[in-house]
Amino acid sequence: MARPKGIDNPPLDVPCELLAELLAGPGALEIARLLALSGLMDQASGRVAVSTPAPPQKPSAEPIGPWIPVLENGERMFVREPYRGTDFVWWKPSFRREAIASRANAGRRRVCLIGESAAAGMFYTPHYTPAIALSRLLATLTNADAFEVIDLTRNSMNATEVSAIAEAALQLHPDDLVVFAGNNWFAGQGLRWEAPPEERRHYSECMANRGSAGIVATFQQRVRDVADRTLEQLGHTASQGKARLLFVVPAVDLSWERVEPLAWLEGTRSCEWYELHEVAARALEACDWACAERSALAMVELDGGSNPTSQRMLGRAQLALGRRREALCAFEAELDHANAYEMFCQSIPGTPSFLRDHIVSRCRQLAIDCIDLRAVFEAHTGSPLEWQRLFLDYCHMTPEGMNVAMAAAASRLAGVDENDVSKRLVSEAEPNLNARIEGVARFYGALCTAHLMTRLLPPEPDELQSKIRAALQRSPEMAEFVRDYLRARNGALVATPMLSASSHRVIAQSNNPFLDYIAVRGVAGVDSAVVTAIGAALDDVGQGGSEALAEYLEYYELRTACGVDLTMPAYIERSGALAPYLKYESERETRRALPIYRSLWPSSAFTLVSRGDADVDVEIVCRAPLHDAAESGVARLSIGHQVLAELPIGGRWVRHRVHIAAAMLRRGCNRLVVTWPSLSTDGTCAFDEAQRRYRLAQPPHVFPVFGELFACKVNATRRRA
Amino acid sequence: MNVVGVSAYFHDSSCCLLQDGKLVAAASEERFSRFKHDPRLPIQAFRYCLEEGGIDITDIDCLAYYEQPTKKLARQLTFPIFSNGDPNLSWLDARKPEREIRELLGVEAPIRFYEHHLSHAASSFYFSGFDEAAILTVDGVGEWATCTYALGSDDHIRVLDEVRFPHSVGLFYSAITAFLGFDVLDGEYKVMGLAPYGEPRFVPEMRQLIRLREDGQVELDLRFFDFRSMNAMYTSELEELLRATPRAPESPIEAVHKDLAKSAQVVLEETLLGQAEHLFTSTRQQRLCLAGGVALNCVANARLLRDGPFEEIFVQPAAGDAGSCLGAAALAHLDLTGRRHSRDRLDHVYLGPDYASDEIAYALQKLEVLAIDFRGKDTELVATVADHLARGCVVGWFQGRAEFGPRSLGARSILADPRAEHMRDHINRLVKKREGFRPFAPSILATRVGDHLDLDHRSPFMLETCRVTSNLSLPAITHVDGSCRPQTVDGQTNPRFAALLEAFESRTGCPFLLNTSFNVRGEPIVCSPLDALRCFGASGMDYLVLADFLIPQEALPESFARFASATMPRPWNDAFSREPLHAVYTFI
Repeated sequence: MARPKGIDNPPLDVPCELLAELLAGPGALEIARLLALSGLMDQASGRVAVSTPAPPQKPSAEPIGPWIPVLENGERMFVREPYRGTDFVWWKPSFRREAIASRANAGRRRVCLIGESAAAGMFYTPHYTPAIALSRLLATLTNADAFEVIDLTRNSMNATEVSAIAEAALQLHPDDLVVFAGNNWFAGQGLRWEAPPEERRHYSECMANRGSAGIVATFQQRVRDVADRTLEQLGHTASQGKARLLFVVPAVDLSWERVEPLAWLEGTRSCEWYELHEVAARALEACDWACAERSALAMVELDGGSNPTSQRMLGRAQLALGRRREALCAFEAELDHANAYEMFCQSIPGTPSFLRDHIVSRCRQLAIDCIDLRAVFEAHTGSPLEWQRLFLDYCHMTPEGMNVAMAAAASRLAGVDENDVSKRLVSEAEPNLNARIEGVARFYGALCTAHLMTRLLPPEPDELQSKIRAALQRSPEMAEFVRDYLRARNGALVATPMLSASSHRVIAQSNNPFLDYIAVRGVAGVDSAVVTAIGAALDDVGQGGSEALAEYLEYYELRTACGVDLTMPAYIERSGALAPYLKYESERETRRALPIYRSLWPSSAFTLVSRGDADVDVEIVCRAPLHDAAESGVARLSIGHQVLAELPIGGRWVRHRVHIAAAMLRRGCNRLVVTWPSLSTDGTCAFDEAQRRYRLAQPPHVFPVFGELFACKVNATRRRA
Repeated sequence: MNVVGVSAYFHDSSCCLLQDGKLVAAASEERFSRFKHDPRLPIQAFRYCLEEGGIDITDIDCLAYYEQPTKKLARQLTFPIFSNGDPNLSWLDARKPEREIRELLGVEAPIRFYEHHLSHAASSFYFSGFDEAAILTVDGVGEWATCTYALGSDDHIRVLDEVRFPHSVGLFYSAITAFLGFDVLDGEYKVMGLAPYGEPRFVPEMRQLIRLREDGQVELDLRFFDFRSMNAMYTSELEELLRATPRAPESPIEAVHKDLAKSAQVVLEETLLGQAEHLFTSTRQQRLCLAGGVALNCVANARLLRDGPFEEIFVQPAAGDAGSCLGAAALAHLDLTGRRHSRDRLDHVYLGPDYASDEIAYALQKLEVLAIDFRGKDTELVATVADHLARGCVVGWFQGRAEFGPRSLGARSILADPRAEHMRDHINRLVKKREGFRPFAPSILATRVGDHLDLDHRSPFMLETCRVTSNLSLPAITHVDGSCRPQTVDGQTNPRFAALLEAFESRTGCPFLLNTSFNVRGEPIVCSPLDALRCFGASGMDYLVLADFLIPQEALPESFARFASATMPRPWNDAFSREPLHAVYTFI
């Protein structure tokens, strides 16, 4: 081996060039990583001097979220810090509080409410929140000054942060710690390919033993472990601070769909599953509930119940067949099996039933007072299938929902029998909210649902339109607000979503400026379902929806006229078919996150905006990576339900040109659909390969990739005479 | 023949497209991702290059990668720098570039790998227009080489000798950069800018650190360097030798720091001169091609030309790793066709994205920004802007295709009157928000150079300094030592910018404009019109010229500045390693 010139004592006296060659060869890095995974290879064994900084001395007073400790006239106060970067956006306390005394006034019980966005009252914050509801309810139940509620909730808080805030909150000398959390405890527990070896070891073992079902099982166990650690820590904190701890387990809206693709199953089972998926989807669309149920049951049989999509299909069919209890079980199973692949596909917060049951059970063991909101909401509405009015979206509550939840907490804190007083309390605590605030919250709730829910089937057009119409009807000011929202979303501005004057007006009118807007802006781009519903809803209330929509679509019409690539994020219909790496990109909205579009579903849909008066040429560059290099499959290109062309496709890129006559296009948004060749791959081999890559800390292809597009360029050409 | 060149996974990852031997596009990922020195695979730059060339992925004949990952790994294994806290041993993954080029970029065409310093050498020689030349490449480190001596002749490059890690001129300078509290790979030019303020009183100590042997080999005294540390590149012995403590980042700059910078610069220049002499002796060529990060040291370049043995020097404008993608692509073209891609000199670097005026007009309308429309009124636009500049206004200038490489050259520039006494402080305070000691560079009409500068040739890329000989008082662009770093502008490569310089001269008698990069501190140079608007709104510039549109600062809505500041890109952790992007070290 040649050593570098001038080095008498190279630090590592092994043949490094040979070692590098070997490492770059097949299997070598896998061996090294397996050794690391097994713990046999201590990477730090004397080779690396990594200095470990001494743990900092704990200061006598620490910040509590955005509140920093100060001394005022010898008294410790916590004052709200000025702008503190991104984190500040997530803190928006109710009561518009700027300072907190470190102790409550004599004679008052201090309640610190800690929790995530549901506890923060997202979309109503700061005008109405669970903390405000709790405060009002406690005032109603007891004399007005008996309790003081401090809102320490924060959006996007994870379990570790909940524990940390609870510990920091002891500086406020609370009498009661109310922790309303659990929706975000899945975060970071799903399959992560760049995870530390210890974590990957757990997943690897389960993948090897149980296939893709093992991934979900490991995920569930890890979430339970999070709950154990968090509850123990919270119990310890409360006991240290001599505070009473009340844990409130969130409820979720079970009508929210959490569709995910199927991870590889053994042999031909994945292929069979997707064949059944197509049958079930068609049956649901055709209202053939018996067929849908039959197919869904067969899918559940194939996937062992570990896939949320089959559960949702089953629940939808059973609900339509009037079998509500079974449907409810299926919907709960859907949530239980969702979010295990948070790095791969859309994940949405929620407290699944396995976590809820575990929290309730652990609270009992740890002697922590606990309220299960599922039971509370069920008592209030009669059934989880009836409690949609308590939610704005998947977990964020309406004022009624906040009141119902906090009535249970208030009763417990005040030592009153909650069964006797809840209904009265809820009605007495009814907030008198400004109609615009209510309208904005409802509008944002509708947008959040439209943008984030991964659905089995495209939404019924009227579903979103009626929600937006209801928001518009709340206040006359809403129409201009909604029109401004459309203007702020203009396609020319996707790279700078917050620089237009229209976006500034929207932000200024949002209940929680910045945060709500960021949350509901969601995906940039055409967003055809939403903008069409907005246009129609504005028309419904006589507020010029068609004109607003035409103005909005003008940009995209111009782009089509100049030629545009529909695989740009702006044109991809969000159906959960996002590529695995999408979450890694900072600017997915503005610039291409992936150079190629990757479909995890049997079909992919794109929005083609047309003036309807010109033919369109399509140039498509595609491949089906699971196929041979030869063009052995056929992809189908359609506009709506009309098939345009059948395109030979194989494992290597191929370019096709297709012409669309103007007569096939309508003015506005058209759905250009690519239906990929059906699966024929052996799932056992594919999953083995995914496992191998996972062991190597490389992105494992746990889901079938049906097809990839490098480009789908459309260009309006000749005008119709 | 479509050859794509890629440099990545280190810093300033970039991509270019050679189409039938013509360089049609080149861009760094940071311009699109808005993360300065973005080291990730240049996904967006790749897409841009193909779109600019009017091709798709099926049209690529070859992708050329700028280094040999396995050889690099051998060096990293020999000197295992760190565990990087990475329990997954990602640093051992020499297959990553190829794998991700296949999987992320989706490239099916053959991939060719070229050595890092050969890519540097090719990026200079094959774009120099020289038929024969000596080639010197100098940087921190590639695979093993930190410097190569080579000879370019007709179509081929022959490497004569190399200096190998850990002995490195680049790492010597980077270590001093780190000692002076600046970010490595970013702050080297700050050291260069600080140097003229100091005295060379540490030269003897610096000469202990680095020694050039007669055979051209460079030796570092390794007692003073620690290239295995993530947090510093030097040992405590260096502090003892220099009798100084390292400067904390952002702390005040004191005399000792200036003296250290001066001394390091002097020794760097001595070393490079010695290397040039050695190369001249070996090749007897009259022309020199330079590349590698050290070739961005324009003071040293000027010294090489002034005091060195070569009559003519070509420096690759993107001399750092960004430009290596050009070299790799040129090498691949040669391998595939048997001929070098071009014998023409690279005369401009306007190789990045362009944006149509109509598109800009539409966006401005939707933003509700009131702009003055000069479409079809080129002369009036130039005259108006010249008037504003002559009145002392600071103007953001956004025109045509973006520059490739680290310098703003009249496509994405901030312009001002160089005669104003206060202009340097004014721009530093309001726009650049950077260290006050750093000089600004001028642009000057090529036809006026002889009257104002001690420069007898074109310098279109701001890659060398020269003495200011003008009778004009030019405090904003004249460095403390009486030098400047000019861009010479002609009407062929950037007609509108040349016209602006002429118009400014006609009003003021001054053929110079202060020209600094269009960005604020920590931000990459702007790429798109909206990047420019955001930067404009977040800064104190008076006017923005967006293609054919003139926007006064007061035309922006009241809330614009607040939101522009709030949404400026911030330093970001690398999405893959989770490491802060600015912590990427020279040889990882």
